[in-house]
Amino acid sequence: MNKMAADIRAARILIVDDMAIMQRVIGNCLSKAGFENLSYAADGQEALDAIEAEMPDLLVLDLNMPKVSGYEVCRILRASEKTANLPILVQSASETPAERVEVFNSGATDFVSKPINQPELLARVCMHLENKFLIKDLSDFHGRMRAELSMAREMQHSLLPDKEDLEEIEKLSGMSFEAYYRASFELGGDLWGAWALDDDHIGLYVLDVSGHGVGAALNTFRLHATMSRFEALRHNPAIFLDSLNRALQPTFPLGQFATMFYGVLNVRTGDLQYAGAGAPRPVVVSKNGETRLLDSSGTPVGIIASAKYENRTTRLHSDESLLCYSDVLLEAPDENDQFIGEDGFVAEVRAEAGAGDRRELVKRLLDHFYKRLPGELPDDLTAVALHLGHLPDALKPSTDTDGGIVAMAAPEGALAAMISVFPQLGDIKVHLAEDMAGVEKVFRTNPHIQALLLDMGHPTEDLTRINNALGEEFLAAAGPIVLVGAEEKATDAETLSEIINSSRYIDQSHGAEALFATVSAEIEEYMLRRSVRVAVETAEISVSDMDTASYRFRTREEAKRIATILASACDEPGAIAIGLTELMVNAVEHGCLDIGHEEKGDLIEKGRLADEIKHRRTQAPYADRFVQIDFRRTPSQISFRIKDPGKGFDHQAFVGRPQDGHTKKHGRGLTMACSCFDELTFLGNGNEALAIHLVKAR
Amino acid sequence: MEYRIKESGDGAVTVTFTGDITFSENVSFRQLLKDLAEQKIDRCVFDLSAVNMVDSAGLGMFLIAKEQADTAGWNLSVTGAQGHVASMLKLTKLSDLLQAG
Repeated sequence: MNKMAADIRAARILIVDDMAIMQRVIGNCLSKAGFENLSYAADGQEALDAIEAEMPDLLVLDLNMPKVSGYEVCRILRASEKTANLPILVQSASETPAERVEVFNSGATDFVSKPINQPELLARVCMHLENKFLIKDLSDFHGRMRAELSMAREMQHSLLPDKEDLEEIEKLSGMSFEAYYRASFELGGDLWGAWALDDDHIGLYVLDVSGHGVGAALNTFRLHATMSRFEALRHNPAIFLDSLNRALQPTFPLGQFATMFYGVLNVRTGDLQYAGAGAPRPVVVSKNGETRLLDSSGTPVGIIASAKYENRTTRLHSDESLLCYSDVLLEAPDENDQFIGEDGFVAEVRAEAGAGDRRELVKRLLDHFYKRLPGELPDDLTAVALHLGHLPDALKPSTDTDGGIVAMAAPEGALAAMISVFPQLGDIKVHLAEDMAGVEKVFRTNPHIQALLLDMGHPTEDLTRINNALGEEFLAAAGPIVLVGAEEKATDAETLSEIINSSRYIDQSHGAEALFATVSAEIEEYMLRRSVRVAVETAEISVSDMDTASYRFRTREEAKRIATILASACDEPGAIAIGLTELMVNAVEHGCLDIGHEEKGDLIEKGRLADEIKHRRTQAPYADRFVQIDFRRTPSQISFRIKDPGKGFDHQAFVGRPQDGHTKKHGRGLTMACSCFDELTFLGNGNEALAIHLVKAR
Repeated sequence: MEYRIKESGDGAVTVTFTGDITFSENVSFRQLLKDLAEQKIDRCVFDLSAVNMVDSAGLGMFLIAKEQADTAGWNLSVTGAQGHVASMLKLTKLSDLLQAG
């Protein structure tokens, strides 16, 4: 308070009175109390001039004066911004209630009556000066805090990716960002960013530190700094989040945490690998405005050091958009003051996606949002859309997020020994699982597994139930299952094959190379089936409104392309395309080139299938052979007739009984093909297949 | 947000919440924790069946309550979460930590 007392005593006080005696009375009273910085004016005009020349801290003002009256002085001072808050103490002899009202209306701060009561005058002067200095201190403090907060907000803004970096990524990827970020009136904890990892991959994160204010902002900076420490781990979302969490958990105060989403996108194929820490679920918007949500569940960063994060994968298609956003968009109230929640928000996304240019989706969403909720935001708002263009390798099988193969093998068993040689033979990533639960776990974290190897040494009970452990995608396109065992297990393998519909059986005495070759060939076929599905789902080509068509083809690649076109006419094009491809490839290999199931297995084991196909194609009688497919559509059904020039096979077992065990001898793919159609019959001597798809009533 | 504390004897306490649990409830939530600290509790259940929504600050408050429970040696669980509240607990996996049932 000492400084305040000194400030008050040093205050400059202007005493305005047309009577010299009054000036003296007031001056004496104040100087006796220690005020030394006093000046005087004899009328209103003189007072205004003095104030203009040097600003006082307080004015003691008489009302009735020549030239400019005290009322007028008050009004003039209040009208100017500079003097609007100057304390004015009015002294007056007459004191009717009406006069008092007029005094205050003209802008006086307070009122002392004449004759002057000296202690009262002194008390009022001191009080108003004290108030003035307190208010000044407060408003200085407020101003400084505001400046600091706005500086902090700017610094937070500077953590966002800069325009040049984003343009660089856009150039590299052929995609475009549409990002919006606005800090709340307090400081908040939102942040997002993107980086190029290599020529084919970009990383994208969105995070929200819980709470508001300086604490949340400081933790956002801390998180940002920690992220740069783990630059080397950015390729693997789960490991990246793991490391961030372990590093940050001890420093985060109790009750504070960060929700986060981090994904790595292959900009050529659209493969997205991501991990979540409780961020709002990102929305993928397809080019025709459909939406699907990504699972971003996970313990937020900073809560428990032992939290584990999980990689998940999905595939984005050409012209889709990935939308990440902060929870304020879900928590904001709608027109009826009900908060809209995820369902409401996703419905809005769908509505806006169809309402204009896809690349302005975020803008439209936020226009809508601000219309509903004008003014200051209760929390930071972040919305980032990554708009994909045409993906150059959309049809290629995944490479990076495809998790390789799973081998269910006892540690000391024959299969484990063969697998251990794989790294020397080529590039197939192997996940080892000891039992069925292990296989299931691998599929959960790697849904794009390409093949399953089973050691016949496992308990039959586990082997027969293995399909229960496999991933959805793997089952949908008949992922290959290869059995491995000793020679005496061959009969068991055949029985097992009928139950689980496995692809092939490899005698372990044939060695690791034979197994490797077989697995590689099976993967290749499986990837062909899967890429057909992708091609159909993205509808890059279609049959449009043709009702009949015939095609001839000689190679697997042609088969795939035609299957894709024709399947687009059906209700479930993905499954039909896979089934057709299987039948058509079978017709090429078996019908045109006379390569039977057993022979094919043998060629595959020796790694000679591709060479053999090439060779036969140049030889008579194979050179001129082709397969023909006839497509016919009626309102009730679609039929595909596939005819090859081969000598066929014992088809009696097939007729009308597509689920018959016999098919299983001909491989997992063919059995799967049967289940894709409503009817599958073999005609002639088995060299002609008629597949029928019933059109669903609309 | 409003809450009601009900003791059912033998050290069991149920706290029933109504309304939204968001950042602005910070002060009253801390008051609740103080109230709980003054009682002798074995186990406590947060009944969320009448809660419409919870934001990240609200989840943070649950974590503080959980820490208080662990330190003081009583058991905390949540029950009745539905709609947005249930999905928030699931999304952040706090349902495991808070033994949501």
